[in-house]
Amino acid sequence: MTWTAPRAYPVALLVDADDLNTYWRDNFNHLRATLSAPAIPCTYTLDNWGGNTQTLAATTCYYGRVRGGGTVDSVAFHVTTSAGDVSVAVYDNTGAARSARPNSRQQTSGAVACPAAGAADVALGGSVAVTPGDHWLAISASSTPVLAGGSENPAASNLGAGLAYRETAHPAPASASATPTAIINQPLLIGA
Amino acid sequence: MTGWTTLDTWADTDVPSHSDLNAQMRDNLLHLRETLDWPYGFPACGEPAGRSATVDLWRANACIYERFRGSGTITALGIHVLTSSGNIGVAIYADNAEDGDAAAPAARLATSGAVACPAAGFASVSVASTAITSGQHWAALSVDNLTANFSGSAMNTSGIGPTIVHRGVAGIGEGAHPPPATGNVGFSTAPHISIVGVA
Repeated sequence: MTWTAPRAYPVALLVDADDLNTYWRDNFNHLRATLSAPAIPCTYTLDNWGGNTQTLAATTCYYGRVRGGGTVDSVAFHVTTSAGDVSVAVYDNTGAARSARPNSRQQTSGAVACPAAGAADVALGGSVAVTPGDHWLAISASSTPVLAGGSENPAASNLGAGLAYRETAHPAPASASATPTAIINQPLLIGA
Repeated sequence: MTGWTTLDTWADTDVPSHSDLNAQMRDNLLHLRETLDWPYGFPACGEPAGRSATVDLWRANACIYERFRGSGTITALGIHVLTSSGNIGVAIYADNAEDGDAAAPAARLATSGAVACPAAGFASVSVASTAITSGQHWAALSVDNLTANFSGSAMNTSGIGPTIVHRGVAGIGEGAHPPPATGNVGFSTAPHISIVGVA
């Protein structure tokens, strides 16, 4: 999906039917990215976060499907306990509904030292426009840092299919696995 | 949003009439509206990937009703059982078509009836095929005991209790196992049990 940028009609342009369709599609998608609830690209609604933390598994990459839209050049998260290296990344989507999964890496930080405890914002290699449901945010770790996110219950479950996955990988791979493990226990990631 | 152009598109030689233009704009804007809040292309209740507490049903023989976000035709309701015990029932209800916090489940459209609680882990409990429209249908889960518990929201780990803050979104009815023919919300509830629609 590369058509989220809004389009304007040049003066004197004669718009035929399929042009009209394309222009509206692009403008509607831009509208969707800017009006989505929540209005920022995060992996789940921030005000639903219940104060839990999650210990990431070593050499594991976590993927969360974004709910909001916008252009991001970094991924923010909250570190409770720092350890080892992390990488963050943005992926495009393949598949639909509960078969949706991350596909190709669009931008990444590569492996960097895990930020100190507190709010963290790790820069990507460049900016990328993300659209709700059409992109994924990812974080991988070399060790076992503790981040804000879901906790308590078993991580692996098809309850999270189409929403959140993990796979064995660090740093975030160029292509996500075609058979990642669906999870219900993901770190809270925010596109910034 | 990947599917909206299949709802209504113009071919190159089309000359849209006023009524066609109106209908196509309507359909595409309605699809846009739906994806603004829940962009994932399938129905679900309770943000299943982000919140993962242990939640029971607060009372034995009670039924929790949760309003669907997202649309699609489903043949089962998916839950994650943490502790299996006794019997459960799942169901789909039509909305009462009221606005705002007056929205509530009304007529039962499909149900599993009372079935043995599945073993611990993810479980799909079958119902008759039903087309779900975001905000216009509710999922329900009833349980005959308080030992069984499920993955759900992190707001209350000791069980779902009464609150007024989620009227029109989620509620509980007592003395309602298996799910009754007509939805009967006794009080609203903020904590959810995570439920997904399975195609």
